[in-house]
Amino acid sequence: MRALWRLVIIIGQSFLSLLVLSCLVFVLLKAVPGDELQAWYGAAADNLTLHEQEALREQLGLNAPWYQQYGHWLWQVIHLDLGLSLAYKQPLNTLLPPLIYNTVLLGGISCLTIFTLVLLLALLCARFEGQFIDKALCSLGTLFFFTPAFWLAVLLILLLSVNLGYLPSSGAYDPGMQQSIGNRLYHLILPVTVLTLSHMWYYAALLRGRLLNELRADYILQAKASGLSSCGILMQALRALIPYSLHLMAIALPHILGGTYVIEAVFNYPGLGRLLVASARNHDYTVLLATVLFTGTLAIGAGLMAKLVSSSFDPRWEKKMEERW
Amino acid sequence: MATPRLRFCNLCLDFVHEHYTIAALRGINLTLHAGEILALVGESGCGKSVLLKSVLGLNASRAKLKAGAIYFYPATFDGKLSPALDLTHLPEGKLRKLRGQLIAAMFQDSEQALHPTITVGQQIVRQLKRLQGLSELQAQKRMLELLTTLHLPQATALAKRVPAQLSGGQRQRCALALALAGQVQVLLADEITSALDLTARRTLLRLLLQLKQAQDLSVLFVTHDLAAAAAVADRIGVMYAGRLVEIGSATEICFDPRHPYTKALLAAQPASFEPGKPLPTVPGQAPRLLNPPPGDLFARRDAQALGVDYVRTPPFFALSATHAAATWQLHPKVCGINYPLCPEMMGENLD
Repeated sequence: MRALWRLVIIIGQSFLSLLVLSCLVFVLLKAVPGDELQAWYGAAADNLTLHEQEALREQLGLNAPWYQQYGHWLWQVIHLDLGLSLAYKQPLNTLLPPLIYNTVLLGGISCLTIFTLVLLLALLCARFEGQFIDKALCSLGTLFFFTPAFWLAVLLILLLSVNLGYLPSSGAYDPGMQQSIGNRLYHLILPVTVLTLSHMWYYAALLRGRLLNELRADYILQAKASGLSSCGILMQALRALIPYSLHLMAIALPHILGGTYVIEAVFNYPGLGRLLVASARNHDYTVLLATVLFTGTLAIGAGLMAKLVSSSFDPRWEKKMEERW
Repeated sequence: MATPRLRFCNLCLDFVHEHYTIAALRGINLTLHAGEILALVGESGCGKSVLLKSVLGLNASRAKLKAGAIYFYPATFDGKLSPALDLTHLPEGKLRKLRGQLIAAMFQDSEQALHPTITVGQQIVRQLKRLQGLSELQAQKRMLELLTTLHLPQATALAKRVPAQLSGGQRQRCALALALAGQVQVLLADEITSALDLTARRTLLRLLLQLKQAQDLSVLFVTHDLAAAAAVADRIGVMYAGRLVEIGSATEICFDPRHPYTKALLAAQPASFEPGKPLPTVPGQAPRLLNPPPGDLFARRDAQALGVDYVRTPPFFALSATHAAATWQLHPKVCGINYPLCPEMMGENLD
């Protein structure tokens, strides 16, 4: 019963965080210079008379105070209606799903590749600490970490698409191949490679550090004294790091998603990122709000999941949470 | 004559850093007998823990064996002595088979020494399955037996907890159960009572005595606590700056110390504290072991040191069959008594 109550409180807190986030983004969007009429009418908005502009604002509900506009938007969201895109003049409920699918595909595959490689790299570096392989991986990782993702993307496009012609440089699929998973994956190779190379080392270095720290713990000495093999010892250390790794993944998820937004712009990939950039340019605040809300929900949800799953791997987390409540 | 179980022969071990070398152990000669508790006492940094870890090759990779050997004499089922194994030259694979199985180790902080996220019961069960090849059910049963033998009440409930949910005394007894999961003949105990309160300490020491008697267990017991050493040890070895300086039965060391360092160490016990006066301490500081000079290194902290103490390392003089001390104070020209030398206690590279 107590656990259930705790869960309800945590979920309530998450919703509150989302509410604050959406309110903040709404106010900020209203505060930045720009005109929503530009989003609705494009260049034609400049040809309207002041009187016409005022009438249209009234019609679109843009003259109401910000809190009324926010309240109206919130009421719509509660009724599962994200509103209308000012630039695309389409309901977001139909505009967003295919783009979310594309972004989740790109982000999901990137996350999987990144986390798998992070684990392998951290284990390899920890196993051969201070040796050539560890030093080489650390140097190479740092090099990729400090290489700007967009520059790396352009470099790979030039090399693998333009010069060698092995891989497509843009889009999510070839015309008419929307349903082909193989074609989609073929288009994802370059964006996923860039995302992986630019994000991987940050998390690998964090996990490597923690793993080395863990390998110096007394229980590892005890495990060695008990006759465990070096592989078994690494697994023991890794077992203790499961909660940490889960939290690292939860933090990494919005970070990688943020990365996909940049990569989508470079690769002209039809995902949320490209839409986000276009919406910011067009002052299409409903789209911006929906996108921020999506990212926020993902980040908060990932953190919540990490917290809940951690406690089942490490009873000390359960104890900490109990003490908190 | 007592059966040897573990023998350190002129063990010299260095910690090699990029620009300097620390001589951590400088010619240790010591024998641990079957069914004996041998306590090693001395200040921090004197090499007690390094000596203990060197048995199982647990020292950091910087530790390099300079000279000497550690011989292990495993007992066979018929009680006969099997050929000695040189642990310092044993391949890693063979040494790993001995770890936990015949020679086990326990360390000071049991909260850190047990895996933090696995229940203690599960840790012992895994160890039993790995070392004794038991099935899950048999291992569960044996684990509960072990915990009960170690006076842990409500073993079933206790086994389901992680170390952070146990008291220090319970944790240390669980660590002992983990150490006893194999067919252990030698237990290396590194300051296992340091983090415990008096009651828990007494319980653990009593358990060690019981195990020694019941299983003919040999224990190398490293401690700072002279009272604990005196309570359980058959013999006490006093170490200073990487050398053994005196060894004898608990009574001989506590009531008839001969090396100036042993005397200073005993004088610094809280028992000798007089209210209103400063707490007694060993004067001076422990020497750094970078290129240690010849002679008795304690001479620099000893007001009564002789001139020869600064230039020549003293040999071991035998005071009785069990008691020997390495100090020039026992030389016939100094004390007037002709104590015989102990050749088995002297390293080959003695200057």
